Amino acid sequence: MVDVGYFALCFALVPAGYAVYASIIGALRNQQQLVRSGENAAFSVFGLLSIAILALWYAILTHDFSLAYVSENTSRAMPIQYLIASLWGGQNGSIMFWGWMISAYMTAVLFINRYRYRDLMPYVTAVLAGYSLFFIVLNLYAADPFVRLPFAPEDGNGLNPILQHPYMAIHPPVLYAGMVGMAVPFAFAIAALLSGHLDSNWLRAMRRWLLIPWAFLGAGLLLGGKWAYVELGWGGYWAWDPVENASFMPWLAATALLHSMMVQERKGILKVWNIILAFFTYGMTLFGTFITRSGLIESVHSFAQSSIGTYFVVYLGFLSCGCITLLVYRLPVLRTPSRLESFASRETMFLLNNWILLGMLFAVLWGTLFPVFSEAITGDKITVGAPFFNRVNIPIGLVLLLLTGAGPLFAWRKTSAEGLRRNFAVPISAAIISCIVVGTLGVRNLYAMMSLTLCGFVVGSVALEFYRGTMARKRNSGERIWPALLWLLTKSRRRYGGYLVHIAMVLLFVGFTGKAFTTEKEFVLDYGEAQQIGRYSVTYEALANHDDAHKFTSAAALSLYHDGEFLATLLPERRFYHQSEQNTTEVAIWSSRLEDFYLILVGTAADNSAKFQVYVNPLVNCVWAGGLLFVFSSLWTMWPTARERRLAFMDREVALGEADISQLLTKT
Amino acid sequence: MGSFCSAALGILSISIFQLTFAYATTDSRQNPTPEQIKQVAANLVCLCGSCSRESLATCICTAFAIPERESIGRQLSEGFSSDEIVSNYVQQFGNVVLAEPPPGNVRWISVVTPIIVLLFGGIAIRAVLVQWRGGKDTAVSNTPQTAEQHMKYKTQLRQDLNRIDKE
Repeated sequence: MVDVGYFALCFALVPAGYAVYASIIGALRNQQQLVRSGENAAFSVFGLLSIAILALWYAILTHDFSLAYVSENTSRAMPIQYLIASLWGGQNGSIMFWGWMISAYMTAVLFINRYRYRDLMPYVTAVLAGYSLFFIVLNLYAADPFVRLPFAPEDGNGLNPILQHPYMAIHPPVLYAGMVGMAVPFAFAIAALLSGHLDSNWLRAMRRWLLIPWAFLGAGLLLGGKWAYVELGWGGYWAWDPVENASFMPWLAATALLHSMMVQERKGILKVWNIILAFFTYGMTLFGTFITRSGLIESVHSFAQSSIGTYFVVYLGFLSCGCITLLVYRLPVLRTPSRLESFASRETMFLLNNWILLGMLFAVLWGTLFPVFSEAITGDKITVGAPFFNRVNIPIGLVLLLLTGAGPLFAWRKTSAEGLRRNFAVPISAAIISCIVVGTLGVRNLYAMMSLTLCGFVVGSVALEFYRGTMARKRNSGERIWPALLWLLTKSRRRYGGYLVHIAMVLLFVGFTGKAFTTEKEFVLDYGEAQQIGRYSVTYEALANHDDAHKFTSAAALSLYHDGEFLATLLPERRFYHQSEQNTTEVAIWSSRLEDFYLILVGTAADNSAKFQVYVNPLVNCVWAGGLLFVFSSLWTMWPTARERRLAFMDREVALGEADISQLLTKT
Repeated sequence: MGSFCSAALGILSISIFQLTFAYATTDSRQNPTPEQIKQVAANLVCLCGSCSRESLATCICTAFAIPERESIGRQLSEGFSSDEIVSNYVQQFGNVVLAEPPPGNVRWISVVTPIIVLLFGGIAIRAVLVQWRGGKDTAVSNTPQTAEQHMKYKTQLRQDLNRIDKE
């Protein structure tokens, strides 16, 4: 089975190369059959890589330790869910999984667009097949997961214990789906440049293919945060680690593109800028992959150093040169005269939004690469940590929050002074009320006050939009309020789904702001002793140690009280994994709607006294609630409307010659 | 023999594990306060290699953070100031142990650069907006047509429509 997988991986080179060749030649010579054969080759790449993936999974699940990858990343003691997850737990397996995911995206894009955007699709096939080809080459020449050992050990090393967590089992594939998927908008941008069809058609074709990876990337970042929160035991969810940053940067670039493409669709401007952003977003995913896997930057998430960094540099160099050349070649066509009727317009707000998002991206990039720059210039590796990132990014984030609320209040083209006064009245009132409430509650931290005030502003702005839309529907159709609101959301998914994403952002910001009010305490307790932490108190009841072949566990039992009322028994643990000689913590969290009581067992002594660390994290659940709303509203926004489904059906019927276009138009 | 060795290793590692915590536990009851220790530790990061360079004030890894916090506590009780303790760490591990670049030019550059870039971006955006505001829209021109231009347009339109009718 393993050999079948290896040969499937080798054979995948051929159709991937052919797909690139046939698609480009077919498009240049306008030979549809050649284009179709290129697409079929792309489908077969997906089939072959699926066989390779299944073969590796088979080797992992049957404990075939003769494979170096299986031996290094799995062990017999691992539960099945982590055995499955170990496919992407190591360098070589994750590279193959990445390549498979590219082919899966390619298959989905080609299948869904088999009757649509036919002028663009050959080039899209070529770009995605080329990307797939790159990863197959990586697997075969630099990161082969099918390498055999000269002998088969009885057991393997096992997966890193901190990665053996349910969130970590799903976080990487979700993140990969985001990172990989950014290749699709890039492929459409290249297709537009190569085909010369530089109107907004490529944006319409790729919009959903940008939203999908954007949502995956956002969800992946939040899942990673949740894992860090419950597993790493330092009371937080975001550490500005280089690898976290590497995933955050493409998300920021994609967010900028999602906004600026609306300007092109509406006004036909920013054509060059949108192409550049599509390039940049994809480039950031490659850059992130490069720094994660090349050893350029040290991080807890990094994979072992390997030679794949060189391959990435070559690929990035080739792509950069190609993209710049293509862009310069098409620049005369792309540059269109632009006119702004008023500074007080939605167009201006979108430009400001792009400025702030990219400013934040630069700040993150700068901080991430600072050790490299400092070492290159001064010879001394100087790192910047969370204090730097917070100092720079909190003010930028607040401006972004202001724009999130202000943007929808401006009309396209021009907003009159009277219109501005009318539109801003409600959001500003909401902001003032928030500020008063926050002040009354005793908040004195300036950033926290500003953040919560601006959150009120954004909520006021979105509520106003929903109110106006609902009332307009109610007036026109005579519907009652709730059905009118539901229809508003259903009929204008893009607009009102987008506003729901803004509310998700508000929830996230409220959660982030809660960090300013975290209280923390470290203490030592003997059996029966209690400790007061604000309105909570804990009593240390018992300690149990357990040793098995896999790990040594110390678990403490503590009773948690709030204002003297018993809430729960908390069981924080510390584990020592024998094989990897690694300590991990299992924190105990008591969660209420307003705050988390986060308890860590720091250590135990021979007399059974134990050292604990407690964080009371207010509003942290807003982060997770915001994450859920983000995923839901992204799905809502990208879900095709009835009209879009009808248009797709029309395209199919016309392409197959099964219907008269005028007949179809009357149906629509 | 092999199983004896692994059992011995297991006992040894558990003992180290227990001793580390025992050490951590007993000292933390002495002065200075944990808050004072954390104030100093907040200037440093954990170098255990298995965490994502957490702040030394919050990291709980036994390989580096906990013993080093204890060490900071001892140094404080011996009368060392916060700055002296931090510079001791820099001497021992290099600047890589600092949570922020060392005070001076490097720290200044690290913070100011993103702000400068943001400002330049703002200036560029302003320039673009001003240019657009003064630019001409090819699709819809606001320039009023002269009577002559209007007549010329109408004549051309009539001719084109007549031609299309004949075709």
